[in-house]
Amino acid sequence: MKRLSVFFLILALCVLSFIRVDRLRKARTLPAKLMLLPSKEMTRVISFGNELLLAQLIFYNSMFFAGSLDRPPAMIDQRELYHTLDAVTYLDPYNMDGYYFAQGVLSWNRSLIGPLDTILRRGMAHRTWDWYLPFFYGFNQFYFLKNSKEGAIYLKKAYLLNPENTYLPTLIARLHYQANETEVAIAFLEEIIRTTPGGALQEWMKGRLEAFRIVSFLEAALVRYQERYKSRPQSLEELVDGKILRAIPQDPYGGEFYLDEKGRIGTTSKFTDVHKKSKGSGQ
Amino acid sequence: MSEVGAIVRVTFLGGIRDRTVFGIFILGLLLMLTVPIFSYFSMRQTTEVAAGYSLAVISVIGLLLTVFMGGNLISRDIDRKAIHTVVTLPISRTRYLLGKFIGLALLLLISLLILYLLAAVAVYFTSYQYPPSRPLQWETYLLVMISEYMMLLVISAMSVLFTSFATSTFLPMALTLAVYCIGQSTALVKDYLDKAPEAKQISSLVSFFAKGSYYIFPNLSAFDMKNAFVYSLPMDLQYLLTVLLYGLFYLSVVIFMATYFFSRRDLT
Repeated sequence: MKRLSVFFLILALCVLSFIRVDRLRKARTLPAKLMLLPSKEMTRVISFGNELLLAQLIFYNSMFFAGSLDRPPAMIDQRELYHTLDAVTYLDPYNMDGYYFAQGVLSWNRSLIGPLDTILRRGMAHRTWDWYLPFFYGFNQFYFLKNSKEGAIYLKKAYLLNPENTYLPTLIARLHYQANETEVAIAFLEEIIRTTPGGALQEWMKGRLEAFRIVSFLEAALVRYQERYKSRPQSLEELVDGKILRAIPQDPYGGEFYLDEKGRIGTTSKFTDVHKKSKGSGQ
Repeated sequence: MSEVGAIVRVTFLGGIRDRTVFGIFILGLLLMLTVPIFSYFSMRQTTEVAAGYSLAVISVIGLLLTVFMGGNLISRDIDRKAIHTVVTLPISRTRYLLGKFIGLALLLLISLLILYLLAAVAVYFTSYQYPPSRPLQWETYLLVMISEYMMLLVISAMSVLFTSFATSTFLPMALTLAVYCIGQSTALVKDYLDKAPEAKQISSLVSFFAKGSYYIFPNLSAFDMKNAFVYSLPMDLQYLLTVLLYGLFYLSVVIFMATYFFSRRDLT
């Protein structure tokens, strides 16, 4: 009985001390820190054949670090995250967690898009079946770097890897158009329509194709005008006045074609259905 | 050959009864239970993480088993004076050592088979819940297991070599671990010295020793094919076969050296 009492006394003291330790620990909780790593080459050497495991451990560390921040990662945090995620994808170039997280945390800082793209290119070289990587890369190109041509090339790769991304073909065609590659946009849409089963999606793409064919037709008319008059027209109406066209074709989306300040063909519909929009907004 | 068979049997049964070996094996089983916890935090590749983690656990447990069993292989017989009985028997020291090595190889094989089977179950159930981006290739799993086993056999052979002349248990264990670390890194260091521009600043003596180690020590990183299963990559069978042959020849040379040293050792 005496022995049992001593045991329970010690047990109670143990519980009380644990509660105290727990409180103190919470009060002095230090912020999570990223692992201090040597160079990625040296990190691989010291993994002694367990690169996959080490890569995942470093990835978890960076994920928990970013998750523990009570604010968006500062510039210095983002640079540190870049170095750890670079090490993760160097140790395990197939690690999708690393690429996915890198795109999520690094893409919003323009100065890190270049380093991020280096990581993504590593991913594309290894995960050749994965459509996410060319999609991320293409997205960064057209959205952050305003490089429509490069964006179109990589989104096309993403689409070919996963044709279920039905929103991509028209976006790719639009990027080709923005990169002054209307003919490429038309050829791409023709190919996609040819291989897509009939239905609403095919009709949608046919609408975009028709619009781009008109743009291409107007671009050819601009060239003929320049050849004939040795000057650029100020508006599309001058093509009619100069007897190059009989009339300006109608935009299948319900807008009107015009010549912008850079001398490119544009449309007020921006290649989206004006009729539906008007109906939808009650105008 | 029956004498060798008897040594194999004794070594195998001795390994099973060894508490340290049993403890390491149980540790491996417990670590297998942590597979779902470790892989749970993955963002987009839960099954791949589960597979990578399981194979890494097996790799580490396999190494520990090899180091501890190999370290105790002969020194225990010496400590228990059992070696005196053995040397008086009509069996050559070469056969004794071969029997010890085969017993160790057999024990490793059984341990690995159990661990790989459990890992397969863990990975299979994870893949059922979180389908991987590419379907798992179980035939690759088998090939990865064969490759890993061959690597452990090469390390076992090194361990046998060290026990053939060492007088303590600790020395062969430490040396085997050192060989493992060197063998896993020499190829990477050599690649770095050959390709990296900054490597030109490294002294030629360091470079000479690093490159020399690449040719002398077993190239263990060549046996690592874990990512072929984890990411369902195509397996280069010709490469695998070459690596297996390399492993077989390397361990034969090492065992040959071990028998040479052991036959000249003073056991009195």
